[in-house]
Formats: sequence, C-alpha cells, structure tokens
Amino acid sequence: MPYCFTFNGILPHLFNYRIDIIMLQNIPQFFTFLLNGILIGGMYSLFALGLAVIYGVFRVMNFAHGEFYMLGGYVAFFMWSLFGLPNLVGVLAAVGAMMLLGVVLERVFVTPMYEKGGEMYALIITFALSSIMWTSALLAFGPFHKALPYIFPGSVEIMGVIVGLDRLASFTVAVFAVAIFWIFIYRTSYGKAIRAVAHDKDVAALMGVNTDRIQMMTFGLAAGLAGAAGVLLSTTLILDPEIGQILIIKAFVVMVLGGMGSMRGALVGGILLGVTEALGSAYISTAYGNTFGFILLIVMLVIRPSGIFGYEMK
Amino acid sequence: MGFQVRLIRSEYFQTSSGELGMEKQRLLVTVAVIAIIGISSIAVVLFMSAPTEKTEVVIGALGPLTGPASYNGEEMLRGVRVAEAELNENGGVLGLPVRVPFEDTKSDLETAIAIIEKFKWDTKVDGITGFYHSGNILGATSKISEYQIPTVAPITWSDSVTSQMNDYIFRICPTNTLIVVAGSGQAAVNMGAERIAVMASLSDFGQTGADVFTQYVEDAGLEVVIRVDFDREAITFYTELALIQAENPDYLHVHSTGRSTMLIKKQMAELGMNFVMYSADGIIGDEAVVLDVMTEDEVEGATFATMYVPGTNATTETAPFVARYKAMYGDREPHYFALHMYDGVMALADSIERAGTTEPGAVVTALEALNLVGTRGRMEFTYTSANPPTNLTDPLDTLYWHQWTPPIMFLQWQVLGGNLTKVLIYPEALATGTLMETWT
Repeated sequence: MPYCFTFNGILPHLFNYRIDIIMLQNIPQFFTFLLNGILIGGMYSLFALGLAVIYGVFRVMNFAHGEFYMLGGYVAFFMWSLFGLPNLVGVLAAVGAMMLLGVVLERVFVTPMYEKGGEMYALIITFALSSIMWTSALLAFGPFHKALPYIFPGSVEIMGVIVGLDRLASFTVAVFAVAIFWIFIYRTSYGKAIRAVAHDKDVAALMGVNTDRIQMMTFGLAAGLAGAAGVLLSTTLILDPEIGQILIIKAFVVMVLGGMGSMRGALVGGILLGVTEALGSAYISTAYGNTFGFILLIVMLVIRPSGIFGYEMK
Repeated sequence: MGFQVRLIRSEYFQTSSGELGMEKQRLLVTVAVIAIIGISSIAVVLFMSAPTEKTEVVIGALGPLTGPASYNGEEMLRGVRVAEAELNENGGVLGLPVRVPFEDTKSDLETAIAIIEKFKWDTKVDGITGFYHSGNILGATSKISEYQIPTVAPITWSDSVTSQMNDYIFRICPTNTLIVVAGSGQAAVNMGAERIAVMASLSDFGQTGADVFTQYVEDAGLEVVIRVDFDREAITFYTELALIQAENPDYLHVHSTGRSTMLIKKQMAELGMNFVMYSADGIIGDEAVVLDVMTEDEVEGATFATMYVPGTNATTETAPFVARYKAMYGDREPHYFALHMYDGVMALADSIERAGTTEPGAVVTALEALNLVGTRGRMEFTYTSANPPTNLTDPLDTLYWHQWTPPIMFLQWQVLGGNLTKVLIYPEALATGTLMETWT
C-alpha cells in the first residue's frame, strides 16, 4: 500500500516510479500530476505578479500584498452576496477598490517611509500594514470561511485529466496578464517611465518624469492585480481573513525562483513551484508538499541567486 | 550629576591621580541595579503570592481564534459567553460573579502553554476549559499538574488526554477511538467498503485519528488501499486526490480540521470523485458554513459525526441554551463546539459550587462526583480515584479515566427532492435514511 513515504523509503520508491515511467506504465498518471502542478503554478503566478511589479519599481517586498488579495476577494463576495452581482462585476469592483486602497497606502505610508529610511523602513511598514489589515478583516468579517460562485462552472477533460474550468481560466488569465504587463512595460511610454523610475528615480525626475505619480500608479496597479487574483482564485480556493498570509509565502518563493521584479519570472517561477510541489508530493511524500518548494528555493539561491530571469525592470 | 559625584566620591573609588576609577564606578552601578531588580522581584513575588480576598470566580478558556481552526474557536468563544451570562444572571458561583476570559491559542502549543502561565500568575483562574487541539492540552499537561488547575476538556479528542490518567484533567467529549467506532469506522464496516482511502493532516488530531480508524477497519477485515498525509495549512489537494483516485477507492476517511476538509470535498467534486467522504471535522455538518464555501452539489455525499443536530433536544438544557445563543448571536444555529464549551464551563461552575471553595483539591473531588445535566446528556465520569480503571495497562480501559462521552450521531448530506438535507444514518434507532454510497 502506498503510504506517507518516510526518508528511509524514498530511494526505493523513486526507483520504482522511475522504472514505471521508463516502462511507460505510469505516463498518464505522471501527466496528471504535471498538469495539476502547472495549473496550481498558474494560481501562484497570478498572485505573485503584482508583487513582482512592486518590487520592480520600489525594490521592496510588499508584505501587505496578500491582504490586497484577500480584501479584493471580500469586495467581490459582498457584491455577490448583498447585491447579487456576478463575479465579473466583482472583479472590476475589486480592482478599483484595491487600486484606490493601494494608492492611499502608498502615499500615506510606503513612500514617506521609503524616503525616510530606504527599503528597510518601507519593508517594515508593509509588514505592519499586513498585520493591521488582516486583523481588521478578522474583526470585521469574522473567521468564517467563504468562497465565490464559479465564474465558469463545470469541468473539462484534458487528455484524461479532469480540470475545473475556473482553474483553467485563472491559469489563462495569469498568462495573459503577464503578456499584457510585459507589453505595457516594454512597449509603451508609460512603461518606459516606470522602468526609468525603477532604474534611477532621481535621474528619471531630472528627465521630467513625475516619479511620485509613477510610484503611486504602480503601487495601485499592483494592488489592483492582487484584488483581481483574489476574485479569480476565491472560486476555487477558500476565502478567509488569513488566506493572504498563506499565499504571500508562496509568492516570495515564486519571486526568488523567477527573478525579483521579473514579470516573466512570476509566471515561470510560479509554474516551476507548482510543478515541483506536485511531483514532489506525488513521488516522494505528500506530507512535505510545501517543503519541496523551499528546497528548490535554496537550490536556486545557491546556483543562481538572481533567479531565472533576474531583475527585469531596466 | 553633582549629587551622583558626591555620592560615589570616596577614597576607595579614587585613583592615585585623584580621579574616580571608571571600572569601580561601573561595578557599583551594576551592583546597585542588580540589588534593585532583586528587591523588586522579591516584592512582586510576595505581592502575587499574598492571599487576597476573592471577589470573583474565574474560569479560564482558551481556543484557536486565529489560524486554520479559527471558525471553531469562534464557536467555542460563543459557548463560554452564553455560560458566563447565564451564571451571572443566576447569582454567580459561591455568591460571586463569574468571569470567563477567553485567550487565543493561535493553534500553537507554545502559545497555549504561555496562556496557562498567564492563567496561573496573572489571571489566577480557578479552573480551565477549552484547548481544542489535543496537542495543546497534552503539551500543557505538566503545567496543569504543577499548577494544580482543575481542567475540563470539552473538545480535545486524542485518547491520551484521559488515558494518561492525570488527576486534574477531565473530558466531556468523545475520544478518537470512540468517534471512529461510532462513526466513520462503523459506516465503512456496515457499507462493506472494499477499497478505503485515508487522508490525514499532519497534526496530533489528524495522525492519531487516522491511525485509530485504519486499525479499526483493518481489524474488521477491510483494506486500506492508500493513506495520504498533508500539511494542515495546505489549500490545494489535487495531487493528493489524484493519488487517491488512482487507487479507485469506494470510501474516503478524512481526519483533519478547519478549512482543509471543506477544500478537499470541494476539490473532490471538481474531479468527479463521487463516493462517500467522511470528515472528522464537524464543521462540514454546519449548513450555514459549508454553503458559504461550496455548492449543494459539492456538499452532497459528505458524512460527519456530531454531538448535536439542530432541532433535536438531547436534554432539558439544550433548548434553553440554543435560545440564549440565538438571542445573543442571532445569525445561525450553534455548532456543537458551542454546546461543548458551555457544558465545560457549567461543569466547573457546578463543581466549585458543590465544593464550597475554589481550592483545587476540593474542586477536583467535586468534579469526580459530577452528576450534571448538560446540553448533550447527563455528565458523570466513568473512572475516578474512587473507582479506578480495572486494567491500568490497557489504554482502552484507562481511556475512560475522568471521561464522559456524549451521544454520537453519524449523518450524511443528501439531495432529497431537490433539497440538501442532513440524513441521520446512525444510530439506527434514530436513522432517517440510509448511507448513500455513490451518486452522479
């Protein structure tokens, strides 16, 4: 009986599965795990993308990113439960609300702290904001779990693997979001201004770029992205005040894997993390699913600390 | 500054050049600071140890208000608030008002132990109820014994909580063994399940419960084809469910708590896994909660054990409790966690009243003689110091030390006539339907 594999049992089981794959006996099952890992990775990417954008401009890890995700989900939940509005309207409302909140927090807390004490101060203030936001959400909404109704109900079979349509949709959105952002950053004048601020804020200001506005809009944009992710993923995952605290850890790992401040890295890093966790769980032990991602993180830090794509905002 | 110089200027501290020796100054300051701290500490200890006249009876409560089991913690909090209000309306205990401070364990053992310390030295409780996680109460057992705090555990299910035969710990809820025997194990055996899968969270509750279930069904001649363990913080289970699906089971036993059980059922439905799924966490039996997370189709087929079914009144105390709960909270039926905690507070209050004192030894003696009608039945303990277990080496006998087990019911969500309904499967004498093994 296959069971929670202990360390002593890893090698024989790995050997057995490797033989199975070589003998083509378990290819369908391998594909199941791989596809599930890719789709889960897409979820991570969708969540991590906004974080990558903020780091790209501010060089600051935004600890409050998970709370923008969570609050975005709640905005859509209340739109649906109180007014009966569909999730697609909820996405727009979540994006708008989180952009506004992001702009306010950036103006009032993040940038002043950044100017006062640099990246460390800004990091600390985002950590404090994260605690305040999720505690406030816990008091306001209670610990009771919620979920949003499916945007695309039902499942589809892909080469023998059953996949929920919403999961497929969130992966598709993640890919498109990265593509759109990449085009925006590298093919528009506004994107050029963002890259200029990310590269050297003072020089950008001297060149006539309104750096305050760029920072404000970037933070708001990233918060809006997180809010959208909160809606799209809350149909499949559970929504509660603490969900952001769980996902932010994944996002940090994704960023390190893909490259800090890299949008392509957010996508590839997310998929890499999802696949690693899925295959590690499937072939070594489900008990240590999260551990495999951290092992990969350590390996990446050792062999390529800049991540797969490195820092891209230049 | 001048005063300080005069204070320490003496021949002893002056160097040959006439200046004050810096090292000797530092030494004097250090000694002075240590002396001040030492004297203050002694004063604090003496103050805290000094007997003071009691102005209230304090029953400490603790549970997970944050973390993966926060929903359950909220219900626990509500239960103690109902008890506290009722006791004070009826004159309190020993003629004194009752206070039930509730502390958040955050589902963390170190935090739970810190709370015990606080209850002992700061809050000065006369008894404790709560915990929720068996690992928390087991880890805190030595402190409970050291501080001699009468403790009633209303929700911790590990057999060890009572089989360890601690003098100060009492339990008024099922154990893992009993809940499995009366619930999921019985269902699997009666169904004649041929291929059983087991999922368990990496927690004290998950691991011990899954072990008990596996042992029970294997002893009954059934086969467990796969066991999958998972991190209790996990939010996606597609890999785990794919592993299970590959074994083609006809019964899934999930021993976990909090959000994971609902996510597992939800993701099972997405993957088209329509066979019996038992959730050890009674949360899946709360309609108001599950329908905020899942659709009716996704909930269908989930089975669970409970000690309270809304609309049923196990005793004369059940309906008044429910009425008071709704008057205070209004939004939903109470979950059995609330009833358990209410009974925990009432058991302690009753024992303190009968003892006529809050002295721990007397309260423990009174607890051992408990004969109180609670919301789920008449609470009295099987084995006590006056009636010890007959076989001290058999954990299935010592299990009943300071143990009272409420009636256990086994239910399944079924869609009947287009309506999602909780169908009582066991005990058969009360059954309103039969177990649905598969569905489309």
